[in-house]
Amino acid sequence: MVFSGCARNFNIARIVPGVTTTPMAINYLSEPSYLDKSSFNPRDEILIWDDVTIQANNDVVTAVHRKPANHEVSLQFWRQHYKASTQHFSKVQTGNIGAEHIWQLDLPQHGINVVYDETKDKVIKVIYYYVE
Amino acid sequence: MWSKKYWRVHTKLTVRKFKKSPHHLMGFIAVIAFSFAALKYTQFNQYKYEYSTFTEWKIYQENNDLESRSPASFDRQLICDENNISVSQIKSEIKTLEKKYETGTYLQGDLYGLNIGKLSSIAAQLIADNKDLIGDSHKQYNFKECLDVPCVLNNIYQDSTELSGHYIYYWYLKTGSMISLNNLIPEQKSTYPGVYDEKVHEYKDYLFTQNELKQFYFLAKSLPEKLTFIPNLKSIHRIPDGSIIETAQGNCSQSLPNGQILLTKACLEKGSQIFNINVTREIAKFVDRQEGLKINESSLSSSQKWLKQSLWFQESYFNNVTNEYQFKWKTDLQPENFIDRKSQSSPLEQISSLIAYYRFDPEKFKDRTPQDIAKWIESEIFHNKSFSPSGLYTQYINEAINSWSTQEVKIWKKCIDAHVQPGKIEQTQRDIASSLDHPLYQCVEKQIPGFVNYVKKEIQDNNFEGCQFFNDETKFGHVATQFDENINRYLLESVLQRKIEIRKHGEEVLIGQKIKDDFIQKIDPNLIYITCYAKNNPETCYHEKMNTQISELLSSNQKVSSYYTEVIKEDILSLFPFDNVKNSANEMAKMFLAPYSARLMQAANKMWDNCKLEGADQNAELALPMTFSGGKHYVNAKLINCVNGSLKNELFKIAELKAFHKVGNDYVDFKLNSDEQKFALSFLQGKLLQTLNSILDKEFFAEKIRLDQFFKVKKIDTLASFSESKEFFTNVFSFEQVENMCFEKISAYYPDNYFYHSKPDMDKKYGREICSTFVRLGDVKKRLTEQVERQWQINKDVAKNLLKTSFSGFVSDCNSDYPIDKNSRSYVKDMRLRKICIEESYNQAISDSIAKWRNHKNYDYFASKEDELVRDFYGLRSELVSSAQ
Repeated sequence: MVFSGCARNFNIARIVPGVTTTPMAINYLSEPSYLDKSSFNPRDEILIWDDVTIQANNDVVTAVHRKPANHEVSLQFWRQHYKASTQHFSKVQTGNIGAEHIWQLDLPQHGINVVYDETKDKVIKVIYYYVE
Repeated sequence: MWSKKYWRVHTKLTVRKFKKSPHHLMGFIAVIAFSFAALKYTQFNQYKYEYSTFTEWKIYQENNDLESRSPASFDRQLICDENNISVSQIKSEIKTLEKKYETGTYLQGDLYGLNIGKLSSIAAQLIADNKDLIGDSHKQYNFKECLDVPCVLNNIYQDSTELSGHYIYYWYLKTGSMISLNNLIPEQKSTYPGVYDEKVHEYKDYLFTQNELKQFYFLAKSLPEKLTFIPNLKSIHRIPDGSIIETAQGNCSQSLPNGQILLTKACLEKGSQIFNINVTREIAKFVDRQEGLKINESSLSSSQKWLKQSLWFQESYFNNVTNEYQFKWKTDLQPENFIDRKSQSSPLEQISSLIAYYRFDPEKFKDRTPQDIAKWIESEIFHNKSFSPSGLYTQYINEAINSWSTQEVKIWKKCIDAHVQPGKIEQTQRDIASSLDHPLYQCVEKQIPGFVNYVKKEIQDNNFEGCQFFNDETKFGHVATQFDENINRYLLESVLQRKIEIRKHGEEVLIGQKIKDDFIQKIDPNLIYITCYAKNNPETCYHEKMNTQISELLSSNQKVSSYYTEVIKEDILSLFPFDNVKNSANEMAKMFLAPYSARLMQAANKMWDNCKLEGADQNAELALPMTFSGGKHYVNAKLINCVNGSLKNELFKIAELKAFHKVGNDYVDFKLNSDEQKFALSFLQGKLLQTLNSILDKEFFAEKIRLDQFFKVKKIDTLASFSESKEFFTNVFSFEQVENMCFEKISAYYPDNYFYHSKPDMDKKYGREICSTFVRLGDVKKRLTEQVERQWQINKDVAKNLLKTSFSGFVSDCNSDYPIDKNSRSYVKDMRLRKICIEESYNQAISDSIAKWRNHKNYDYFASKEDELVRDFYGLRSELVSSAQ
């Protein structure tokens, strides 16, 4: 179990936004449980697995959304770990204004966006994206 | 009236009715168990009682308040008419509630002259815990003349009717949260109290109106246990009229992560039902979180179970152009299955709306909610209590039956004392058993009308809809009539059943009742529930332990037949259903713990201050895992490590979860054992994190103001002194160099201890900002421009010299490669070749000199001017080339 979990994480880590193609991603992670055009941007494809979501444009992965590891669930970890880098912290604007308190910590030098739920005090998602 | 025929008919009716409604039978049995205990009450041996500390504490509170709880005291005015509320009525209710929270511990301190040490435990707690929420932040008050909390609040409200202060205090006593009287709205953009939504407001605009407070008063009466004393809910704030909620534009209400609810007039003005639904919906968002924690989830609404049940899923997207994350909730549930439009927007809005509607619009809830979801809300949040007219009927009839169970014991005992000579009950048993008209029975029957009046008043007093239930013919007429008929019938039948029991089972009944009474006297189901609380399946554990306890009692009594043993077992279990016990244990624990949050706050503040004394360390590494994460703020790693290190045990030791009462010179202690502490901590867990987050918010805000002020002064000094300093205007080559020199000097003067900003944050926000301003100051900019230009000219001259040297070398080569002899036949050709050589070597000289220039020590300052230099070099071409020829 531990081994398969590690292998899975390793395969997720092999997906590099801007480099990995959609067929390569499927090869690493198996067939997705859901595949569709994004309703936010129909030119982007969304591929969903239980533990990871991939965004692709023209068959090239542009962003990888994954759940945080245990040590990554506090926002403090990210704030401290990247304290020497540029950090942009802002509230996520949603259609459901005011009900949920979701924030994002963007680390543009590293191509990382950390999604944080203030009510639960937990990082709920880590996104790796393509940086030119 | 009490003829044999009457009894025969009613006995038949009773049996038939119980066949149809088994729950009535259970209640009936419960009554028998309680009442018969009275017959032998004084003869039973007294064993060592096994009560939970909460129960002992509650019993103590009740014993000290027997007067106000006896039926005779129920002559006070009942509030049926919302427009006719008297201060004396609320005062009386407050007095009763205050006694329930009395832990014997007192807090020290004062608020604008009010001595907190002289207030009751819970009143002192309100002041100590919420002083920031009391009064205009710009004003000083004098409360020296006040002796209680309502006086303070009325003083602020300037309410001569005294109602406002009493409404607010009542709300606090019933719910544990505070209605704010302050003009600083949590998370407001402005740092200035009284400025919200970019408008200046008068202090009174931040206060709820008296009519709104009245609605809070009625809401407080109507909230079920799950919606009161939620550890994460701290306060409720009113947004001034004419403003919108800054952080939730378009919404009339919002709940904030740190425990506040914001409300605008739009949510409060559309009648009591809408008011109740709007406020309860926000309160329910804290319930969602709290109940989620209990099942190891972040919240109920985000649990997989709820998402699957309500068919929710989230679509997420990362926008690579703006570097922004976006998401929206989607559901496969049909719109008609949502209770209102708001509930369609997210699982959180759905669950909180359902909770609100279940309580305040049960018909709509029933009509629009899918059955499985409705069932879940009913059992998990409301302990299967329903608030529809028929649901209220069931609640009240059960309440009456339970009340009879306890009162019947006293009634029988009183009648036995009056009609049976002391110590002769066994001799007179035959007489009692042989006659249905024995004076003993007549005595008991005479008490029935009095009991019915008493229980109806109790119901009206303790239940939000109680008064309407018995007085509003249109809405509740049919169920109220049903209540009257059935409770009277039930009571008569229960007395009859008692007579039949005595006739049929004789001694066995007496032994059975002794066992039941033994159980009631010695075993505390709350204690059993608390010991089972942390188990995987508390309900199974509870039933197993209850069975074990009953079996132990039964095993010591051999005279009871196996048939009657089972009857007794069922009787006892039906007296203490799991949900009821769970509810009562929760309520007692909440009451017990209510006065602790101020102590928790004090202890947490002290711990935080001690950690700060150890100073900040910009190079410290975060110690993982963390109990307290610091929320969304950056916190210096050394400080947060210290806070987490102290949290493990220390804080609760400081808070001391115990209560005591002083009797004369002695103290009666109520200290929680280990199981009870675990149970209690489950109510404080969220509270502690919220307390720490509140401290951090205040600290962050204070540090921000401190740093703003510090750097504001520093900026003025810096700009003045640096402008005079020759250092910045001598040997300087670029604006960036000067800005960096300035920044180095500034950062050396940063304050010693800053905890909630990282060094790069400070640099960006303060250090860089000052120096960037400095180099752009009019006079500084002019002088620097001159200096930089002068240095550039010097550097350019250096580069030109490099060019000239390089070019002259190439020219020498050309001269030697193409010697010219005026007398030679090839003179013209040689001249042409030398000219071409010199012209072409100029380009070579430019490349050569630029390469050398790049190695110059000041190159970095002027690197951006390379193109300009090359252009200048080409401009010199004709001059240099022609002079070389």
